[in-house]
Amino acid sequence: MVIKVISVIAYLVLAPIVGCILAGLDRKVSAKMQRRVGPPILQPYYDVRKLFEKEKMAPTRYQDFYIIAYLVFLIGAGAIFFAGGDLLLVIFTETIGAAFLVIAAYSSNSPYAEVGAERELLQMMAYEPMMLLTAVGFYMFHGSFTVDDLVKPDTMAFLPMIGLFIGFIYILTIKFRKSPFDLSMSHHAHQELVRGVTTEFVGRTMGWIEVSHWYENIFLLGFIFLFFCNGTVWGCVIGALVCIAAYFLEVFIDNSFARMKWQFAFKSAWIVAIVLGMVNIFILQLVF
Amino acid sequence: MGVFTIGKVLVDSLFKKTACRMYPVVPREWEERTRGAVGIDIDGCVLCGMCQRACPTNAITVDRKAATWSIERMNCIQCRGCVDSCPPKCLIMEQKYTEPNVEKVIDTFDIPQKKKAPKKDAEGKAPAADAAGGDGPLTCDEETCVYCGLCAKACPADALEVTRKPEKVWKVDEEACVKCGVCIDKCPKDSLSFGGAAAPAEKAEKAPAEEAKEEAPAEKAEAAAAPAAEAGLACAVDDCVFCGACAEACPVDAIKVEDGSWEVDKDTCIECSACVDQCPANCLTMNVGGEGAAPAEEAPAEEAKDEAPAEDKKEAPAEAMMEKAPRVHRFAEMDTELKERIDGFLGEVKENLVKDHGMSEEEASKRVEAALVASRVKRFPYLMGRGAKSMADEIKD
Amino acid sequence: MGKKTIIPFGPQHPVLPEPIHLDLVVEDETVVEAIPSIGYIHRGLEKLVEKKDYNQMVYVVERICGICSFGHGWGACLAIEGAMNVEIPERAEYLRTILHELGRIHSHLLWLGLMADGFGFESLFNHCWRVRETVLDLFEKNTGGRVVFSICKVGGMRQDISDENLKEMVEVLNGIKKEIKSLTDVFINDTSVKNRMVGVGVLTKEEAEELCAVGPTVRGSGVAQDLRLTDTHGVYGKLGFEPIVEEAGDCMARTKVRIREVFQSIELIEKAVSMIPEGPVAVNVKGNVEDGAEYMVRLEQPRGEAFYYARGAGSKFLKRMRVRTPTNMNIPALVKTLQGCDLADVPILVLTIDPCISCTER
Repeated sequence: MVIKVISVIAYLVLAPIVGCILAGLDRKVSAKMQRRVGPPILQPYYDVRKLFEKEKMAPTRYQDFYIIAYLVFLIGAGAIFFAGGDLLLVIFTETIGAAFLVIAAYSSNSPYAEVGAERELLQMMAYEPMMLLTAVGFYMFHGSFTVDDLVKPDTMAFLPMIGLFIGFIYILTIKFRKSPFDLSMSHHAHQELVRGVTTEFVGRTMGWIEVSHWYENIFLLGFIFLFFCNGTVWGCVIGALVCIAAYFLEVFIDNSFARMKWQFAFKSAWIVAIVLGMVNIFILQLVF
Repeated sequence: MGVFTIGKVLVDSLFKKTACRMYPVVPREWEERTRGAVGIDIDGCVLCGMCQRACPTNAITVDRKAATWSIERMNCIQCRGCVDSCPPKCLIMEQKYTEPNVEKVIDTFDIPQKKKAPKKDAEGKAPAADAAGGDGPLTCDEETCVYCGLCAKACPADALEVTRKPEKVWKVDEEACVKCGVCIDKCPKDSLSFGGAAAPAEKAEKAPAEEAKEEAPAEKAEAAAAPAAEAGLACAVDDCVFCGACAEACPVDAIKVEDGSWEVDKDTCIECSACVDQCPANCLTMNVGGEGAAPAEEAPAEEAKDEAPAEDKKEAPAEAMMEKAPRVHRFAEMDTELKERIDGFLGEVKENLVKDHGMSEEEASKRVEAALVASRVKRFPYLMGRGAKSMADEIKD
Repeated sequence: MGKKTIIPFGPQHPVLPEPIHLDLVVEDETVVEAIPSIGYIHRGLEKLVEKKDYNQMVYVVERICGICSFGHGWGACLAIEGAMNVEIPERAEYLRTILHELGRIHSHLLWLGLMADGFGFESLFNHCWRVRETVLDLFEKNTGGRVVFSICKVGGMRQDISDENLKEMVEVLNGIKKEIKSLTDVFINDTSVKNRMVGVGVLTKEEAEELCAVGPTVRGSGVAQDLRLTDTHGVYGKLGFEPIVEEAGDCMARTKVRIREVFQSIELIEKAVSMIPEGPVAVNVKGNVEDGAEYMVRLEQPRGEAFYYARGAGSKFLKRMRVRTPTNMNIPALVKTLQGCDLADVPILVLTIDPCISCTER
């Protein structure tokens, strides 16, 4: 019990810090790949600090409520995950959080935010199947949906679930909002929807969204970590290394692709989910 | 396959140095031609104001009275127009850009006043006292002038008109003249100077002319006495490359250059030295000093010729001036309707002078003529638009 | 049936390089209609003929646009030189041609970067602009300025460019050819790029001709229209120039036209440098443009055909200096291609005509 409380508190406190550094590294490595110098590694922190100092100018005052709800649900999902709760509950909580983000975007009545919100909904529909299939795959392999049980198995789930792993990395591109699937909200705002979903958020609200990204990133990397848990220390070490490698692979993918349209994102995510995910689950069913 | 096509570039870039120049934190190595900011060598500046005229943004202000040259750094667009148009070439384009600032920066330089050293001619004799210095309008000593036209070619303001055929004419447009002195430097015969006091054009022209006339016989006599060396233009044919640049530069077409041969017609040659300047092989030399008796004999004849037109000038100044002033020439070519309008306008101006400023009719007409002649006619159409009254106000003194 | 929304696009938009305003009538992310409006950057530069004499007017015309800067300066000088019946020395013609082609390389590299940015490919964008920096350095070395050159004047060039500098220019350009190739291969071969550009914004040959599109926009649709063929400006006739034409008419075709034009320009510069004669680079021009003397000249800017018209007034001021720029003619083609496209394609289509609204609106 104490461990759970400690891990939740550790998540709540450390996740933004680690997430911030990871985001900074993302920008620095991207810059190096483009032969630029790039911002200092703590730049995301400076950005959020600046955002919190800005004047609040919201088109509607309900926005804040929705964004706080989004943040709460997202942090809640992460907390449940690190407290060892049910994986499906985690996924659904996270989905509600994302739904609140979409509603917040709709509430601002701006055309850019509306189109961004539509795209965000399509994105959600694109990645949900794969997430759920991953959870199902864990259940098939380890026999439980609870994260507590999933971190203490005997064998590493990586190789038997390799199809699901690759599929998960694929949709991670969508979740991390990286090219080719940064449809609804690009970090660089160089897209047709200005800032997409987050167009109408300013100041503190925008700051909260940035912070929520950090939480989300850490929680998603936690998912990858689950693939490598086998109860031993070196399993954890490999897990951590693969998490970081996966993150930088996403950065590399971000820099190597143009942005695709939502039709392609949707279709390809479902095809990957079906081909890799379902086949893998089938194999898991037959073999294990 | 079509994915990760840029992958190689990205991976290579990870291990290369950044392509960013960390300017201005790291100072930059400028190129030679970079147009950064305008600098001035204040010793060379003659306050002619050509840079002010050339500047498209009116960033430069030249104050002749206060002897300052100032530039508004933030207005300057670094176009090099001033640098290219500066006659004494005292402006340079520096490479470093103006530093950013929160206020507009105006740099003012005090130009030291200087007297130009009087030029000496071939015998080492100093010319007349009021040559090359002075404040008056540009005048040409018609005795020594050979109408070579080098001054007109060099003039950056296009203020000089020099022709040899059908008659020898040397005209200066005083409105356009910026007193930069490039013509004075270029004149091979030292005929040009900035007059005496600020006198009206006709008087100034005569005064140095008379003085020069007195000097000229003395000079030429001395010249005749001097030993007759290899006189006039000579070409070191061994060095000559037969390019023909001298023939092209010659204003009187005295030089003929054909494959392997170079010759000059010394009678036609006016010894202006334009060819010497142009020769790329530096094989031409001009020995000024005349060829024995011939120039000396010509001189009195020329003097006699010069006297006659001068006397004519004295008799009919207004008409002669009217003929010479280029702007009035153009009026004469205009159609009659316009001429009538102008005459009517001038009549109104005269009337205004008489009524409002209490001048006599005679004086009023003189003033109007003088104004016309003094080439304030450039503003004529503009003033016509503003009305006779204001033109009268303008020319009443 | 979906709901129709009107999405305002521009004039300030992060993906747009130029301040054009489009009202997009969108139905479920498909653009039904696009209504353009311009006028956000009109500075009234043509009115400055009243205040700046004809020499200073060249500076003004040069600064109409930063990318097409040399072409504007050249066109203004040609128009005034024509009105004054001035013939400039041959070396000046060669130098002008060389610098204009260098300007074309710069413009197309810049455009390639913007195009990559338009479909979210930032790394390609930054790499293209990094290569463009080399070209800007060449400009600075030879003319003194990176963007605005101020090297054309009425009567020729203000400064000569030495033969060593010209040879170095050719060496540098040949040196970056490989890099440009590796980047342009991405444009042509990458799947994600092809997904965004192939089949998007198709402009058929008939439509292109009817809408009077110019430049690479029309050359990508199969029409071989390039003013450099007419040899009215520069020395293209002596360099043996052939226009580059693609048949497909979609965004990818226009991109390919511009990519091949970059390589063609490098070759043209090399040829011109090998053929450039010695001699003066300017004639001394004095006096004014005669009253009523007028001259019109057409130039091939990187974006298409541009007109320059000058008319004298008898004094040192011109009476009229009119510039008609290529983007003006390409906007109707843009509007036509926007009908029926996806919302995600809008920036790609806007960029594919290479808009230069600051030229259009002076």
